[in-house]
Amino acid sequence: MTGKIFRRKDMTISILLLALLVVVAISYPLLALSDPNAIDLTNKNLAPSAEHPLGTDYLGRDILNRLAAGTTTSLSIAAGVSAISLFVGVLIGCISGYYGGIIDETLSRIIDIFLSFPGIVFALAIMGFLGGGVINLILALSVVHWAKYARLMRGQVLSIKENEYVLSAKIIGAGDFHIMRKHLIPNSVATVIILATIDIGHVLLSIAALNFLGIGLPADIPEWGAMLSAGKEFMRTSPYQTIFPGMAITMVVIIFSIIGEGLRDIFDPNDTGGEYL
Amino acid sequence: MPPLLRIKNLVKTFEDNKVLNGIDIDVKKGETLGLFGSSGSGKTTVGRCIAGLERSDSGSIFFKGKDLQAMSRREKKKVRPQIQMIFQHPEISLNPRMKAFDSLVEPLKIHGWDDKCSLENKVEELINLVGLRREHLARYPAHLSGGEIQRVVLARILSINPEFIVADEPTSMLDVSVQAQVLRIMEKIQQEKGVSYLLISHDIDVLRKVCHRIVFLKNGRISGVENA
Repeated sequence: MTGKIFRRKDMTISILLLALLVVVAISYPLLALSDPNAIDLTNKNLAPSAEHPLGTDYLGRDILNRLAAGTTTSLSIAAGVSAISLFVGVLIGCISGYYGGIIDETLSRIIDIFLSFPGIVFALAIMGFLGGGVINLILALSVVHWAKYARLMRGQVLSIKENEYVLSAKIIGAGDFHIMRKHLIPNSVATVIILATIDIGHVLLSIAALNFLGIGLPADIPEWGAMLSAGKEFMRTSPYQTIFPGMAITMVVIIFSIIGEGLRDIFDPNDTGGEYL
Repeated sequence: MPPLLRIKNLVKTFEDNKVLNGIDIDVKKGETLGLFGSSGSGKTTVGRCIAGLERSDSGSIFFKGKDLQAMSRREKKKVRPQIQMIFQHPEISLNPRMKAFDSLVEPLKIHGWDDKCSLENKVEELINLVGLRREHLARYPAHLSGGEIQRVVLARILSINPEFIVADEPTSMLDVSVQAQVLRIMEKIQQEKGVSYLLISHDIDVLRKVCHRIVFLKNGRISGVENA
Protein backbone atom coordinates (compact mmCIF):
# COMPACT_ATOMS: atom_id res chain seq x y z
CA MET A 1 0.00 0.00 0.00
CA THR A 2 2.83 2.43 0.89
CA GLY A 3 4.37 1.93 -2.53
CA LYS A 4 1.08 2.74 -4.21
CA ILE A 5 0.64 5.93 -2.19
CA PHE A 6 4.09 7.25 -2.98
CA ARG A 7 3.83 6.40 -6.69
CA ARG A 8 1.33 9.28 -6.92
CA LYS A 9 3.15 12.60 -6.73
CA ASP A 10 0.04 14.66 -5.88
CA MET A 11 -0.80 12.31 -3.04
CA THR A 12 2.77 12.31 -1.73
CA ILE A 13 2.85 16.11 -1.65
CA SER A 14 -0.60 16.24 0.00
CA ILE A 15 0.42 13.75 2.67
CA LEU A 16 3.64 15.66 3.39
CA LEU A 17 1.71 18.94 3.68
CA LEU A 18 -0.86 17.28 5.92
CA ALA A 19 1.94 15.82 8.05
CA LEU A 20 3.40 19.34 8.36
CA LEU A 21 0.02 20.70 9.46
CA VAL A 22 -0.40 17.89 11.98
CA VAL A 23 3.09 18.63 13.37
CA VAL A 24 2.10 22.31 13.69
CA ALA A 25 -1.23 21.35 15.27
CA ILE A 26 0.41 19.04 17.81
CA SER A 27 3.48 21.12 18.60
CA TYR A 28 1.92 24.58 18.75
CA PRO A 29 0.11 24.19 22.08
CA LEU A 30 3.20 22.48 23.55
CA LEU A 31 5.60 25.18 22.42
CA ALA A 32 3.29 28.07 23.28
CA LEU A 33 5.65 30.56 21.63
CA SER A 34 3.39 33.53 22.22
CA ASP A 35 -0.21 34.18 23.07
CA PRO A 36 -2.28 34.16 19.86
CA ASN A 37 -4.88 36.27 21.67
CA ALA A 38 -2.41 38.98 22.77
CA ILE A 39 -3.95 42.31 21.74
CA ASP A 40 -1.70 45.13 20.56
CA LEU A 41 -3.88 48.01 19.37
CA THR A 42 -0.84 50.09 18.38
CA ASN A 43 -0.07 47.52 15.65
CA LYS A 44 -3.54 46.75 14.30
CA ASN A 45 -4.36 46.06 10.63
CA LEU A 46 -0.71 45.89 9.57
CA ALA A 47 0.39 44.53 6.19
CA PRO A 48 2.89 41.61 6.11
CA SER A 49 6.34 42.64 7.34
CA ALA A 50 9.47 41.03 8.75
CA GLU A 51 8.05 41.29 12.27
CA HIS A 52 4.57 40.01 11.29
CA PRO A 53 5.07 37.80 8.17
CA LEU A 54 1.31 37.62 7.47
CA GLY A 55 0.36 40.98 9.03
CA THR A 56 -1.88 41.67 12.02
CA ASP A 57 -5.65 41.71 12.52
CA TYR A 58 -8.01 44.46 13.72
CA LEU A 59 -6.85 43.90 17.33
CA GLY A 60 -3.16 43.87 16.46
CA ARG A 61 -2.86 40.08 16.88
CA ASP A 62 -0.26 38.31 14.72
CA ILE A 63 -2.08 36.49 11.89
CA LEU A 64 0.63 33.82 11.43
CA ASN A 65 0.55 33.08 15.14
CA ARG A 66 -3.24 32.79 15.11
CA LEU A 67 -3.23 30.66 11.95
CA ALA A 68 -0.77 28.25 13.57
CA ALA A 69 -2.89 28.13 16.73
CA GLY A 70 -6.01 27.72 14.59
CA THR A 71 -4.50 24.64 12.93
CA THR A 72 -4.92 22.75 16.21
CA THR A 73 -8.56 23.81 16.58
CA SER A 74 -9.61 23.36 12.96
CA LEU A 75 -7.93 19.98 12.44
CA SER A 76 -9.05 18.65 15.84
CA ILE A 77 -12.67 19.56 15.16
CA ALA A 78 -12.52 18.15 11.61
CA ALA A 79 -10.92 14.92 12.87
CA GLY A 80 -13.45 14.65 15.70
CA VAL A 81 -16.43 15.18 13.40
CA SER A 82 -15.10 12.70 10.84
CA ALA A 83 -14.32 10.05 13.44
CA ILE A 84 -17.71 10.27 15.19
CA SER A 85 -19.80 10.46 12.02
CA LEU A 86 -17.78 7.70 10.36
CA PHE A 87 -18.18 5.39 13.37
CA VAL A 88 -21.91 6.02 13.72
CA GLY A 89 -22.53 5.93 9.96
CA VAL A 90 -20.62 2.67 9.43
CA LEU A 91 -22.34 1.01 12.39
CA ILE A 92 -25.89 2.08 11.49
CA GLY A 93 -25.38 1.42 7.77
CA CYS A 94 -23.96 -2.04 8.43
CA ILE A 95 -26.77 -3.02 10.81
CA SER A 96 -29.38 -1.68 8.41
CA GLY A 97 -27.97 -3.46 5.36
CA TYR A 98 -27.21 -6.73 7.13
CA TYR A 99 -30.46 -7.33 8.97
CA GLY A 100 -32.83 -5.95 6.33
CA GLY A 101 -36.60 -6.11 6.97
CA ILE A 102 -38.15 -3.89 9.59
CA ILE A 103 -34.77 -2.88 11.06
CA ASP A 104 -33.61 -1.69 7.64
CA GLU A 105 -36.90 0.10 6.98
CA THR A 106 -36.74 1.94 10.31
CA LEU A 107 -33.08 2.90 10.06
CA SER A 108 -33.43 3.92 6.41
CA ARG A 109 -36.29 6.28 7.26
CA ILE A 110 -34.19 7.81 10.07
CA ILE A 111 -31.30 8.25 7.62
CA ASP A 112 -33.71 9.85 5.12
CA ILE A 113 -34.92 12.30 7.76
CA PHE A 114 -31.36 13.37 8.58
CA LEU A 115 -30.46 13.67 4.90
CA SER A 116 -33.55 15.72 4.11
CA PHE A 117 -32.34 18.76 6.09
CA PRO A 118 -29.86 21.13 4.46
CA GLY A 119 -26.62 20.44 6.41
CA ILE A 120 -25.65 23.93 7.44
CA VAL A 121 -29.21 24.89 8.46
CA PHE A 122 -29.46 21.71 10.53
CA ALA A 123 -26.09 22.44 12.18
CA LEU A 124 -27.23 26.02 12.87
CA ALA A 125 -30.37 24.73 14.58
CA ILE A 126 -28.40 22.25 16.70
CA MET A 127 -25.82 24.89 17.66
CA GLY A 128 -28.66 27.25 18.53
CA PHE A 129 -30.04 24.57 20.84
CA LEU A 130 -26.73 23.37 22.33
CA GLY A 131 -24.83 26.67 22.37
CA GLY A 132 -21.26 27.41 21.19
CA GLY A 133 -18.01 25.62 22.02
CA VAL A 134 -15.73 23.01 20.53
CA ILE A 135 -17.58 19.93 21.81
CA ASN A 136 -20.98 21.24 20.75
CA LEU A 137 -19.62 22.15 17.34
CA ILE A 138 -18.24 18.62 16.91
CA LEU A 139 -21.56 17.11 18.01
CA ALA A 140 -23.62 19.37 15.73
CA LEU A 141 -21.52 18.64 12.66
CA SER A 142 -21.41 14.90 13.46
CA VAL A 143 -25.22 14.82 13.61
CA VAL A 144 -25.27 16.46 10.18
CA HIS A 145 -22.66 14.19 8.58
CA TRP A 146 -23.25 10.61 9.81
CA ALA A 147 -26.32 9.91 7.67
CA LYS A 148 -24.57 10.01 4.29
CA TYR A 149 -21.95 7.53 5.52
CA ALA A 150 -24.73 5.29 6.82
CA ARG A 151 -26.52 5.42 3.46
CA LEU A 152 -23.34 4.55 1.56
CA MET A 153 -22.36 1.80 4.01
CA ARG A 154 -25.83 0.24 3.79
CA GLY A 155 -25.53 0.04 0.01
CA GLN A 156 -22.07 -1.51 0.23
CA VAL A 157 -23.24 -4.12 2.74
CA LEU A 158 -26.28 -4.97 0.61
CA SER A 159 -24.00 -5.59 -2.35
CA ILE A 160 -21.75 -8.08 -0.51
CA LYS A 161 -23.92 -9.73 2.12
CA GLU A 162 -24.99 -12.52 -0.25
CA ASN A 163 -21.38 -13.25 -1.23
CA GLU A 164 -20.44 -16.82 -0.57
CA TYR A 165 -17.82 -16.06 2.08
CA VAL A 166 -20.49 -14.27 4.14
CA LEU A 167 -22.95 -17.16 3.73
CA SER A 168 -20.18 -19.60 4.57
CA ALA A 169 -19.43 -17.68 7.78
CA LYS A 170 -23.12 -17.94 8.72
CA ILE A 171 -23.11 -21.69 8.09
CA ILE A 172 -19.97 -22.34 10.14
CA GLY A 173 -21.78 -20.74 13.07
CA ALA A 174 -20.39 -17.20 13.15
CA GLY A 175 -22.55 -14.71 15.05
CA ASP A 176 -23.91 -11.54 13.54
CA PHE A 177 -21.34 -9.35 15.29
CA HIS A 178 -18.49 -11.54 14.03
CA ILE A 179 -19.82 -11.45 10.47
CA MET A 180 -20.12 -7.67 10.54
CA ARG A 181 -16.71 -7.13 12.15
CA LYS A 182 -14.68 -9.65 10.14
CA HIS A 183 -16.45 -9.82 6.78
CA LEU A 184 -18.86 -7.00 6.07
CA ILE A 185 -17.09 -3.94 7.46
CA PRO A 186 -13.56 -4.74 6.16
CA ASN A 187 -14.94 -5.42 2.68
CA SER A 188 -17.21 -2.41 2.43
CA VAL A 189 -15.71 0.35 4.55
CA ALA A 190 -13.09 1.49 2.02
CA THR A 191 -15.56 3.52 -0.02
CA VAL A 192 -16.95 5.16 3.11
CA ILE A 193 -13.43 6.06 4.32
CA ILE A 194 -12.72 7.64 0.94
CA LEU A 195 -15.88 9.72 1.18
CA ALA A 196 -15.01 10.71 4.75
CA THR A 197 -11.52 11.80 3.68
CA ILE A 198 -12.91 13.96 0.91
CA ASP A 199 -15.55 15.19 3.36
CA ILE A 200 -12.99 16.51 5.87
CA GLY A 201 -12.64 19.48 3.54
CA HIS A 202 -16.40 20.01 3.68
CA VAL A 203 -16.34 19.73 7.47
CA LEU A 204 -13.70 22.46 7.60
CA LEU A 205 -15.88 24.62 5.36
CA SER A 206 -18.87 23.96 7.63
CA ILE A 207 -16.84 24.99 10.70
CA ALA A 208 -15.75 28.10 8.83
CA ALA A 209 -19.34 28.82 7.75
CA LEU A 210 -20.71 28.46 11.30
CA ASN A 211 -17.97 30.70 12.66
CA PHE A 212 -18.53 33.11 9.80
CA LEU A 213 -22.17 33.30 10.91
CA GLY A 214 -21.00 33.90 14.46
CA ILE A 215 -22.36 30.76 16.15
CA GLY A 216 -19.36 28.49 16.17
CA LEU A 217 -16.60 29.02 18.67
CA PRO A 218 -16.02 31.70 21.32
CA ALA A 219 -13.85 34.62 20.15
CA ASP A 220 -10.87 33.61 22.32
CA ILE A 221 -10.38 30.29 20.47
CA PRO A 222 -8.34 30.92 17.32
CA GLU A 223 -9.93 29.12 14.40
CA TRP A 224 -9.59 29.69 10.68
CA GLY A 225 -13.30 30.18 9.98
CA ALA A 226 -13.63 32.58 12.90
CA MET A 227 -10.61 34.54 11.63
CA LEU A 228 -12.21 34.74 8.22
CA SER A 229 -15.46 35.94 9.78
CA ALA A 230 -13.77 38.56 11.92
CA GLY A 231 -11.71 39.86 9.02
CA LYS A 232 -14.64 40.35 6.64
CA GLU A 233 -15.28 43.88 7.91
CA PHE A 234 -11.75 44.89 6.94
CA MET A 235 -11.72 43.34 3.46
CA ARG A 236 -11.01 46.64 1.74
CA THR A 237 -8.51 48.18 4.13
CA SER A 238 -6.71 45.06 5.35
CA PRO A 239 -7.50 42.08 3.09
CA TYR A 240 -4.75 39.89 4.66
CA GLN A 241 -7.09 39.13 7.57
CA THR A 242 -9.35 37.17 5.22
CA ILE A 243 -6.91 36.11 2.49
CA PHE A 244 -4.57 34.03 4.69
CA PRO A 245 -7.21 32.12 6.69
CA GLY A 246 -9.09 31.61 3.42
CA MET A 247 -5.94 30.22 1.80
CA ALA A 248 -5.36 27.89 4.75
CA ILE A 249 -8.91 26.51 4.52
CA THR A 250 -8.67 26.12 0.74
CA MET A 251 -5.31 24.37 1.03
CA VAL A 252 -6.58 21.82 3.58
CA VAL A 253 -9.74 21.19 1.55
CA ILE A 254 -7.57 20.51 -1.54
CA ILE A 255 -5.16 18.31 0.46
CA PHE A 256 -7.99 16.10 1.74
CA SER A 257 -9.67 15.97 -1.67
CA ILE A 258 -6.44 14.75 -3.29
CA ILE A 259 -5.84 12.18 -0.53
CA GLY A 260 -9.45 10.99 -0.86
CA GLU A 261 -9.16 10.66 -4.63
CA GLY A 262 -5.86 8.82 -4.21
CA LEU A 263 -7.38 6.41 -1.69
CA ARG A 264 -10.20 5.72 -4.14
CA ASP A 265 -7.63 4.59 -6.71
CA ILE A 266 -5.67 2.57 -4.16
CA PHE A 267 -8.73 0.76 -2.79
CA ASP A 268 -9.95 0.00 -6.32
CA PRO A 269 -9.97 -3.82 -6.45
CA ASN A 270 -9.13 -3.71 -10.16
CA ASP A 271 -5.86 -1.98 -9.33
CA THR A 272 -4.67 -4.19 -6.52
CA GLY A 273 -2.64 -6.61 -8.55
CA GLY A 274 -3.73 -9.18 -6.02
CA GLU A 275 -2.55 -7.10 -3.07
CA TYR A 276 -5.26 -6.27 -0.59
CA LEU A 277 -4.84 -3.48 1.87
CA MET B 1 -30.68 -47.77 9.73
CA PRO B 2 -32.39 -44.35 9.52
CA PRO B 3 -30.98 -41.90 6.97
CA LEU B 4 -28.61 -39.15 8.14
CA LEU B 5 -30.68 -36.55 6.32
CA ARG B 6 -34.32 -36.86 5.31
CA ILE B 7 -36.23 -34.23 3.35
CA LYS B 8 -40.02 -34.61 3.39
CA ASN B 9 -42.40 -32.80 1.07
CA LEU B 10 -40.27 -29.65 0.83
CA VAL B 11 -42.03 -26.67 -0.76
CA LYS B 12 -40.43 -23.30 -1.41
CA THR B 13 -41.89 -20.33 -3.26
CA PHE B 14 -40.17 -17.12 -4.26
CA GLU B 15 -42.92 -14.54 -4.78
CA ASP B 16 -45.22 -16.32 -7.26
CA ASN B 17 -42.65 -18.81 -8.43
CA LYS B 18 -42.93 -22.26 -6.83
CA VAL B 19 -39.30 -23.38 -6.97
CA LEU B 20 -39.68 -26.58 -4.95
CA ASN B 21 -42.92 -28.49 -5.16
CA GLY B 22 -42.88 -31.35 -2.68
CA ILE B 23 -39.35 -32.81 -2.65
CA ASP B 24 -38.55 -36.04 -0.77
CA ILE B 25 -34.89 -37.07 -0.44
CA ASP B 26 -32.98 -39.41 1.90
CA VAL B 27 -29.21 -39.38 2.29
CA LYS B 28 -27.47 -42.18 4.22
CA LYS B 29 -24.33 -41.80 6.29
CA GLY B 30 -21.23 -41.97 4.09
CA GLU B 31 -23.29 -41.66 0.91
CA THR B 32 -22.82 -39.23 -1.96
CA LEU B 33 -26.15 -38.26 -3.41
CA GLY B 34 -26.13 -36.40 -6.69
CA LEU B 35 -28.76 -33.78 -7.47
CA PHE B 36 -29.09 -33.18 -11.17
CA GLY B 37 -31.18 -30.62 -12.96
CA SER B 38 -31.08 -27.80 -15.44
CA SER B 39 -30.86 -24.13 -14.44
CA GLY B 40 -33.91 -23.07 -12.45
CA SER B 41 -34.90 -26.63 -11.54
CA GLY B 42 -34.52 -25.80 -7.82
CA LYS B 43 -31.40 -27.81 -6.98
CA THR B 44 -29.53 -24.89 -5.35
CA THR B 45 -32.63 -24.01 -3.33
CA VAL B 46 -32.66 -27.55 -1.90
CA GLY B 47 -29.03 -27.08 -0.85
CA ARG B 48 -29.69 -23.65 0.66
CA CYS B 49 -32.66 -25.01 2.65
CA ILE B 50 -30.54 -27.83 4.03
CA ALA B 51 -27.74 -25.42 4.96
CA GLY B 52 -30.20 -23.10 6.69
CA LEU B 53 -29.81 -20.23 4.24
CA GLU B 54 -33.46 -20.45 3.20
CA ARG B 55 -36.54 -21.48 5.12
CA SER B 56 -39.03 -23.63 3.28
CA ASP B 57 -42.73 -22.72 3.08
CA SER B 58 -43.70 -26.20 4.21
CA GLY B 59 -42.19 -29.65 4.59
CA SER B 60 -39.43 -30.81 6.90
CA ILE B 61 -35.68 -31.45 6.86
CA PHE B 62 -34.68 -34.08 9.41
CA PHE B 63 -31.03 -34.41 10.39
CA LYS B 64 -30.29 -37.43 12.58
CA GLY B 65 -34.02 -37.68 13.14
CA LYS B 66 -34.53 -34.07 14.30
CA ASP B 67 -36.42 -31.48 12.28
CA LEU B 68 -33.91 -28.70 11.54
CA GLN B 69 -36.58 -26.10 10.91
CA ALA B 70 -38.42 -26.81 14.15
CA MET B 71 -35.33 -26.57 16.37
CA SER B 72 -34.83 -23.91 19.00
CA ARG B 73 -32.06 -21.33 18.46
CA ARG B 74 -29.84 -23.12 20.98
CA GLU B 75 -30.36 -26.52 19.34
CA LYS B 76 -29.66 -25.05 15.91
CA LYS B 77 -26.39 -23.55 17.13
CA LYS B 78 -25.31 -27.01 18.22
CA VAL B 79 -26.49 -28.97 15.18
CA ARG B 80 -25.99 -26.49 12.32
CA PRO B 81 -22.16 -26.71 12.16
CA GLN B 82 -22.54 -30.44 11.38
CA ILE B 83 -24.02 -29.44 8.01
CA GLN B 84 -21.68 -27.42 5.82
CA MET B 85 -21.79 -26.08 2.30
CA ILE B 86 -19.29 -25.56 -0.54
CA PHE B 87 -20.26 -22.99 -3.12
CA GLN B 88 -19.85 -22.65 -6.83
CA HIS B 89 -17.71 -19.54 -7.26
CA PRO B 90 -14.16 -19.84 -5.93
CA GLU B 91 -13.50 -16.12 -6.44
CA ILE B 92 -16.05 -15.15 -3.75
CA SER B 93 -15.86 -18.26 -1.59
CA LEU B 94 -13.18 -16.78 0.68
CA ASN B 95 -13.03 -13.34 2.23
CA PRO B 96 -10.73 -11.39 -0.14
CA ARG B 97 -9.16 -9.51 2.74
CA MET B 98 -8.25 -12.56 4.80
CA LYS B 99 -5.21 -14.74 4.17
CA ALA B 100 -5.90 -18.44 3.59
CA PHE B 101 -4.60 -19.23 7.09
CA ASP B 102 -7.04 -16.82 8.73
CA SER B 103 -9.95 -18.19 6.68
CA LEU B 104 -8.94 -21.69 7.66
CA VAL B 105 -8.73 -21.06 11.40
CA GLU B 106 -11.83 -18.85 11.54
CA PRO B 107 -14.27 -21.75 12.19
CA LEU B 108 -11.93 -23.20 14.80
CA LYS B 109 -11.73 -19.90 16.66
CA ILE B 110 -15.50 -19.46 16.48
CA HIS B 111 -15.90 -22.91 18.03
CA GLY B 112 -13.53 -22.15 20.86
CA TRP B 113 -10.04 -23.20 19.77
CA ASP B 114 -7.80 -20.69 21.51
CA ASP B 115 -4.58 -22.62 21.99
CA LYS B 116 -2.10 -21.53 19.31
CA CYS B 117 -0.15 -24.80 19.38
CA SER B 118 -3.16 -27.07 18.90
CA LEU B 119 -4.45 -24.66 16.27
CA GLU B 120 -1.19 -25.02 14.32
CA ASN B 121 -1.35 -28.82 14.58
CA LYS B 122 -4.94 -28.87 13.38
CA VAL B 123 -4.07 -26.61 10.44
CA GLU B 124 -1.19 -28.92 9.52
CA GLU B 125 -3.53 -31.93 9.61
CA LEU B 126 -6.14 -30.14 7.48
CA ILE B 127 -3.78 -28.93 4.77
CA ASN B 128 -2.31 -32.42 4.48
CA LEU B 129 -5.82 -33.80 4.10
CA VAL B 130 -6.68 -31.52 1.18
CA GLY B 131 -3.23 -31.45 -0.39
CA LEU B 132 -2.26 -27.84 0.26
CA ARG B 133 1.23 -26.62 1.03
CA ARG B 134 2.24 -24.40 3.94
CA GLU B 135 3.07 -21.47 1.64
CA HIS B 136 -0.53 -21.37 0.36
CA LEU B 137 -1.65 -20.28 3.81
CA ALA B 138 0.16 -16.95 3.64
CA ARG B 139 -1.66 -15.97 0.44
CA TYR B 140 -4.77 -13.93 -0.16
CA PRO B 141 -7.50 -15.57 -2.30
CA ALA B 142 -6.48 -13.39 -5.26
CA HIS B 143 -3.14 -15.21 -5.24
CA LEU B 144 -4.67 -18.70 -5.20
CA SER B 145 -6.05 -20.66 -8.14
CA GLY B 146 -9.69 -21.80 -8.24
CA GLY B 147 -8.68 -25.35 -7.26
CA GLU B 148 -6.54 -24.13 -4.37
CA ILE B 149 -9.40 -21.95 -3.10
CA GLN B 150 -11.80 -24.90 -3.17
CA ARG B 151 -9.24 -26.92 -1.17
CA VAL B 152 -8.96 -24.13 1.40
CA VAL B 153 -12.77 -24.05 1.54
CA LEU B 154 -12.84 -27.83 2.07
CA ALA B 155 -10.15 -27.65 4.77
CA ARG B 156 -12.01 -24.78 6.41
CA ILE B 157 -15.31 -26.60 6.69
CA LEU B 158 -13.65 -29.91 7.64
CA SER B 159 -12.03 -28.17 10.60
CA ILE B 160 -15.32 -28.40 12.52
CA ASN B 161 -15.93 -32.06 11.57
CA PRO B 162 -19.20 -31.80 9.63
CA GLU B 163 -21.15 -34.97 8.96
CA PHE B 164 -22.98 -33.67 5.95
CA ILE B 165 -21.68 -31.41 3.17
CA VAL B 166 -23.80 -29.73 0.51
CA ALA B 167 -21.54 -29.18 -2.49
CA ASP B 168 -23.26 -26.78 -4.88
CA GLU B 169 -21.48 -27.17 -8.23
CA PRO B 170 -18.08 -27.10 -6.49
CA THR B 171 -16.16 -27.91 -9.66
CA SER B 172 -18.18 -26.20 -12.37
CA MET B 173 -15.87 -23.17 -12.47
CA LEU B 174 -12.69 -25.27 -12.55
CA ASP B 175 -10.90 -26.76 -15.52
CA VAL B 176 -11.17 -30.52 -16.09
CA SER B 177 -7.88 -31.62 -14.49
CA VAL B 178 -8.50 -29.51 -11.38
CA GLN B 179 -12.11 -30.79 -11.24
CA ALA B 180 -10.79 -34.33 -10.99
CA GLN B 181 -8.34 -33.37 -8.24
CA VAL B 182 -11.02 -31.69 -6.12
CA LEU B 183 -13.44 -34.62 -6.58
CA ARG B 184 -10.67 -37.08 -5.62
CA ILE B 185 -10.00 -35.08 -2.45
CA MET B 186 -13.71 -35.11 -1.63
CA GLU B 187 -13.78 -38.90 -2.08
CA LYS B 188 -10.69 -39.29 0.10
CA ILE B 189 -12.30 -37.19 2.83
CA GLN B 190 -15.42 -39.32 2.63
CA GLN B 191 -13.39 -42.50 3.05
CA GLU B 192 -11.40 -41.10 5.98
CA LYS B 193 -14.11 -39.14 7.79
CA GLY B 194 -17.30 -40.87 6.68
CA VAL B 195 -19.03 -37.65 5.65
CA SER B 196 -22.10 -37.63 3.39
CA TYR B 197 -22.40 -35.34 0.40
CA LEU B 198 -25.25 -33.80 -1.51
CA LEU B 199 -23.46 -33.03 -4.76
CA ILE B 200 -25.41 -30.56 -6.87
CA SER B 201 -24.46 -30.36 -10.53
CA HIS B 202 -25.77 -29.93 -14.03
CA ASP B 203 -22.95 -32.17 -15.29
CA ILE B 204 -24.35 -35.71 -15.34
CA ASP B 205 -20.94 -37.25 -16.18
CA VAL B 206 -19.39 -35.83 -13.02
CA LEU B 207 -22.30 -37.10 -10.94
CA ARG B 208 -22.19 -40.59 -12.46
CA LYS B 209 -18.47 -40.77 -11.68
CA VAL B 210 -18.67 -39.92 -7.98
CA CYS B 211 -22.23 -40.43 -6.68
CA HIS B 212 -23.87 -43.51 -5.20
CA ARG B 213 -27.31 -42.32 -6.32
CA ILE B 214 -28.54 -39.47 -8.48
CA VAL B 215 -31.83 -37.63 -8.03
CA PHE B 216 -33.18 -35.85 -11.10
CA LEU B 217 -34.99 -32.59 -10.51
CA LYS B 218 -37.30 -30.92 -13.00
CA ASN B 219 -39.44 -27.84 -12.35
CA GLY B 220 -39.19 -28.27 -8.59
CA ARG B 221 -40.21 -31.95 -8.62
CA ILE B 222 -38.23 -35.17 -8.56
CA SER B 223 -38.45 -36.70 -12.01
CA GLY B 224 -36.34 -39.80 -11.40
CA VAL B 225 -33.68 -41.56 -9.32
CA GLU B 226 -30.69 -43.45 -10.70
CA ASN B 227 -28.44 -45.84 -8.80
CA ALA B 228 -24.83 -45.53 -9.94
